[in-house]
Amino acid sequence: MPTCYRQGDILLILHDQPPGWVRTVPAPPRQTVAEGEVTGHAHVLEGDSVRVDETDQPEWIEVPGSARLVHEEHAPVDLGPGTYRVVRQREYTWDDAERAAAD
Amino acid sequence: MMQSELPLIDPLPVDDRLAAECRAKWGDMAWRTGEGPNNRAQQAVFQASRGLHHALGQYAGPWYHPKAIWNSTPAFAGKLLARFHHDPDGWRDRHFAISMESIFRLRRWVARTTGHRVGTPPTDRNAADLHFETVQKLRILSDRITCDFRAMERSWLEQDPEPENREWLPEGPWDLILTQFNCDWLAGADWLARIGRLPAESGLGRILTIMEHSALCVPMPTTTVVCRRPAAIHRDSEGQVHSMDGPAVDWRGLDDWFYFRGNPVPANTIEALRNPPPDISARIRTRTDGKLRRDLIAWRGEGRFVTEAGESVATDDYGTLYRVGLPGQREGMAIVKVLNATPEPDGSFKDYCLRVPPWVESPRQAVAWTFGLGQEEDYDPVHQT
Repeated sequence: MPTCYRQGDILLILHDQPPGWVRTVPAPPRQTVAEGEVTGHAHVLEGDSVRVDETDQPEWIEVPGSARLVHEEHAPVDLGPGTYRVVRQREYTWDDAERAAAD
Repeated sequence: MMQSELPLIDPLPVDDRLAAECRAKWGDMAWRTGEGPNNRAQQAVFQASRGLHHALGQYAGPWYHPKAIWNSTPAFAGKLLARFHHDPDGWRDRHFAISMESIFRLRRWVARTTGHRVGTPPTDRNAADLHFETVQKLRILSDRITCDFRAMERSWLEQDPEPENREWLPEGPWDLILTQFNCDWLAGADWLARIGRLPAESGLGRILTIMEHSALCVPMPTTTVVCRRPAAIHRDSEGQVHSMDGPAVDWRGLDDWFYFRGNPVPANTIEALRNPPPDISARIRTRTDGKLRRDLIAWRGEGRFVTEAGESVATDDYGTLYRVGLPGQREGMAIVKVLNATPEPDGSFKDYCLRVPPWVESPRQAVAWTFGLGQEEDYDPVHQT
């Protein structure tokens, strides 16, 4: 059973290391992990020396020490060292497609 | 003659800029309202109508007095056609299929030579897609006129004591009634006119002029039946015909067309949506029109709809699973209702609903699915807020 942390519509799943094809780069001190589509409130990662993959809303996060995930409407989530995969919550749709659940 | 206006030719090269102009013009024209038989429109339609009848030609004679008759609604235009039909002296006007045939030929010709490419030029995909969406949204209006005319035709035939008259017009030509909402082929025809393939003085060129001022045009040998544009056409943010405050298409109180997000509905449906009764979700569930039902569910909210019209089937530490069956649909809908882990400022916990696949059997499995986890055991967050 994977270890996971949840903040609203975001699930962080702990992994040993990112897949080989993922290239991570240093993240700014406040890295937006996911934008709020409806409210405009974002899930933001605060921490030093954090590395993320090169996308606007990263799927892979490397935390060497500690970091904190913050959001205006949810209590913060403290993260220990490790590699995390970010999963956004989805919903079932009429077309059996999947759409990101609106935050 | 009309048929010679439409030679069979190979597909024509499409000038994207010109095609875009035609699409824009007739796309705007389709939503135009309010124009009536003012002097300018009346003169233009009269001139075009006279030219149209001269172009038709074979009925010209000493008795020949071409005219354009304005109507306030498509229904009135239909009743006028019924009067022509029953008028023993108006037999010539029964047979307007000759011009209909030309229109039919034009539409086929436009489609074959340019129509689909005027609609979807290769270098202007976005504009073409937008135009296609507009055409789809308008089709419901042109189809309504066609269906109304067809229903009227059936009622005339039932009343007609002479059996041979029942064959006076097959059903097909009603699809060829020209309305302002047929912007797809009108744009194609305009494009042909602009490149000189459809002379302005030809019958079909005259029809294009008439359609710039009228909501509807039925060209007949001695008369052109035209119709004022509606007083108002209301649309929602997605451009679909829609109004919750009254008729979406207002024919000055003489005829009211009610639409909900592009779906034709009776007036009492709009009234029920404005003041929803307690059993509104149950009533939505029994709708058999799939698209209308889907739009009504979206309006009510999927979570609210399922919890009101369905029943809870499972509860665990992760939430409550609800299901509802839908008539004519194998799967039905499932919703998981969960509590927010973070309390509100007043200490309460807000709940929210997520739609999940109908095959899930437990709230935990449902929540695991929303995060892409295959096994429900995989979903067990050590910390959540």
